[in-house]
Amino acid sequence: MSEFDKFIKYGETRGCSYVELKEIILSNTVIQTVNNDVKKLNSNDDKVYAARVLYKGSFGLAYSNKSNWKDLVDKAIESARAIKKNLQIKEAVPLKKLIKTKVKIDPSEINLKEKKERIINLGERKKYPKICSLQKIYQEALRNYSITNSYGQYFNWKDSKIAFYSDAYSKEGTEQENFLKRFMNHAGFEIMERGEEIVNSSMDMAQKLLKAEHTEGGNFPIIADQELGGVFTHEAVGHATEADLVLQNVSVLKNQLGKKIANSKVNIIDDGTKKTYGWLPYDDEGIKASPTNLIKKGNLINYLQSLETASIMNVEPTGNGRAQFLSSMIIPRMTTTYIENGDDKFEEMVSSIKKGYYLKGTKGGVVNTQRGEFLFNSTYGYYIENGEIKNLVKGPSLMGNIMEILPKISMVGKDLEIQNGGHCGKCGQTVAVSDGSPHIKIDSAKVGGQK
Amino acid sequence: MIDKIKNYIKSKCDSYEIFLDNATQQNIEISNTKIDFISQGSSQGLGIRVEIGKKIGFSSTTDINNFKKCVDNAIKIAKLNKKDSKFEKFAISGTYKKVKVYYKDLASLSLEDCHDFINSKLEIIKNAKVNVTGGSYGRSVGKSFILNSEGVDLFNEYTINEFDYELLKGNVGYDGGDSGRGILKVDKLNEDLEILEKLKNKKVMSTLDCPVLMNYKACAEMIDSFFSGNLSGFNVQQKQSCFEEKLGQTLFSNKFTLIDDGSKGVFPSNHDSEGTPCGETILVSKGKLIHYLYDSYSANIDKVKSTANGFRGYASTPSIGFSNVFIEKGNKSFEKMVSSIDKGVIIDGMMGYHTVNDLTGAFSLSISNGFYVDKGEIKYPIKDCMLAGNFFELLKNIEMVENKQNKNYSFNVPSILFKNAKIIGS
Repeated sequence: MSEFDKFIKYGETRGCSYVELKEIILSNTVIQTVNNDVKKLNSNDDKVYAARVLYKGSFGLAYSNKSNWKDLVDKAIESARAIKKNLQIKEAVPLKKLIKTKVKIDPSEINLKEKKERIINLGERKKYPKICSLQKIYQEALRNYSITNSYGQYFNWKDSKIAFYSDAYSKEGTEQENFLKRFMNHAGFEIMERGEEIVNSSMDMAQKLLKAEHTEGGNFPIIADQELGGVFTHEAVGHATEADLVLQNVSVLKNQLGKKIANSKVNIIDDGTKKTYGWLPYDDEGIKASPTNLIKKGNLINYLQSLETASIMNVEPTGNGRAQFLSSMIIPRMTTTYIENGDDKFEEMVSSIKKGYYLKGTKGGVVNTQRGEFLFNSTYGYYIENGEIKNLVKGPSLMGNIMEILPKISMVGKDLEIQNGGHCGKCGQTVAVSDGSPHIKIDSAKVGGQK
Repeated sequence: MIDKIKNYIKSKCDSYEIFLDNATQQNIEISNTKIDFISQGSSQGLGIRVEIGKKIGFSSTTDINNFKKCVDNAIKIAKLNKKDSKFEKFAISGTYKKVKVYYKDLASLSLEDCHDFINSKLEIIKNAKVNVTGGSYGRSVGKSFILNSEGVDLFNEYTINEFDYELLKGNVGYDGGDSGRGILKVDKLNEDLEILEKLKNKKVMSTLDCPVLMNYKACAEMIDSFFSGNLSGFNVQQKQSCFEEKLGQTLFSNKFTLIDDGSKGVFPSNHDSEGTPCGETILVSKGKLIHYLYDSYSANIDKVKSTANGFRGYASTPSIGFSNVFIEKGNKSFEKMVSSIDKGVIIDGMMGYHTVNDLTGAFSLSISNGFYVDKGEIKYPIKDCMLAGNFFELLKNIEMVENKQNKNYSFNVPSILFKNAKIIGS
């Protein structure tokens, strides 16, 4: 009997119907450079252990940096005791899964000095004279994550995750701008091959934005590029399909299952199997990832579920139970969420607009699922006049209401791109996600502006 | 333990800093006006910063007994780092105020006591026929050590707790909460329950250029979004701030004075997380920019004293941020300010603060809670509107400042009436 099994049995003899033990061994490296200086060269080693139990129908959780499993199980039971629920989770079959993130260049085999030199040297700064400051951040997380539970299941994921940010600041006279470009994925050091291009393009856009005009505020037709379309999908649809929010009566998509909520051209999927930053082969409850259709031909057909919400709604879990840390509560979260390809041409979208905007990129967004109100920011865009793309504009915010805007997606392109990723915050927890979309046209959206 | 680490490290480098933190936490999640989930646990960690010939290295671990590996790693990193000629020394010691950071009554609460405390608040909300859709309570009781080669040698026991709730009545939602080092009073709860009534039957208003009265919550969020990055001495030095070379210049209305003081407010401290004594720093005085925020590294570069704004956990080196923020109060009551508005808007909360452009001051945010004012009277709550403008321009055109400072987490600010901003409505 393994050490894990011993303490699972211990929990069961104390009356738990389910015990889940987890362990994360993490090694992080952070390199931050500003101009030619190294401002951070940090290394962290973390070990975290957690026990989650289902005791008399309620979950309880305990965690520590020490692997005192008996104490963790006792504390988890104490946590569960204070809650009165009647949850029943579906029994699963015994399983052993060893997952390893594919890497071409193992980051642990490149020494820190070489990594640091590579980061400093990225980008042809001399070609961009208006750049006054250039910050680069490299984050590497090597994680060994194990889950074992009462059903005889054991999951181990040896993961390598790399994120890189390039933030360029430009200045000309009294005008100042900055432009942040980033990429992140489950991968090895090989993904830094894109570093040069990312750094140069952040400097290029920071310079170009100095000359960009402000947008005019008001209601306009807009075209969103793949990145902005992706964040639209995430904010305006994804969050409102999370089953915990539906159960809390704070989602406008409650009581909408099976109903037509969007234009028939719209199909939206959440899929943890996609090899992006949002990749989640098994969720934090050991549920295998699979594609979940959220919207099909404009109809809402599924919510995103964890074990607990699935138990309450009496449906199958969807593999979306996630927690930021072992110390965090598991709740339904997105993985990789995207709009499927349609068959509209980008040129036709542009030529259909008399006065509007083509908006690109994103600085992130936010949604209030109860009111159905969202806001997100593009990073830049172009003014469209009489069916033609005109001058560059500084990225405005877009605001709208979920139920009003979904029927207004009138055109869906056939050029789907899934972004490598970003971070999504909910209930104080941040998790890795990806999103994507083809170009989409929205007939009317509220555009913020300074004019 | 700290002595063992010190003895091991001191001969291996030119200067060092040891940061050790150990805390226990209880977290209570709320859903549908009931306690939904409880977790409890502990966390501990050691962060080591060393300097060898102006080369800096940092390493951290949760395995404190294995501190030698962590120290050796920090030294290895320092040796392969580039020389940083700007580094002078770690934080220096000083006279510390004796602010209370540990509340025994909070520390001694059992998990059941925390549970009962939350239930008593939920009962009040239930009696007002209001639902708490979501929320959380977290308590942390910890010990921290900071020790460095410049003579900083500090040990603290501390307590922190925070309570957040999302209220819903009918289809009107409103968020609130309280935080502090002692047992929470949650004294804004009744006010929050009353606001819910006023937010019923929201209407769309038409696009309008008009005076805007930002209440203290909105002001706190805007100040945080636009000032924390720009005031960082490090960002100024790296040319990543719009306040570079602006020291001594009058940039805003003379009604605007901005102060940072880590020793006061809801989370008072005696020192920052490098060990620099906390105190008052006037950042903007009557519209004139007079000081930046510093940690020890950036302060040494500008040949000034650190303002005690270096914050960190054990797993990272310090970053500069606000501690507790104060805006000087004015001389008009909130009611007087409202009655002075001919046609305008009161903003209670907005959404999307992280999307603003803090370098240029430009923003366009969705108004989540606000009211239309006509001839000095609140007419109706508004929906589907944005507030757009340039925050630095708004601060040049302040009409009135409220005569009291209201607490909103680490911010203590009055409401401010701005002469003119743009509402994008229907």
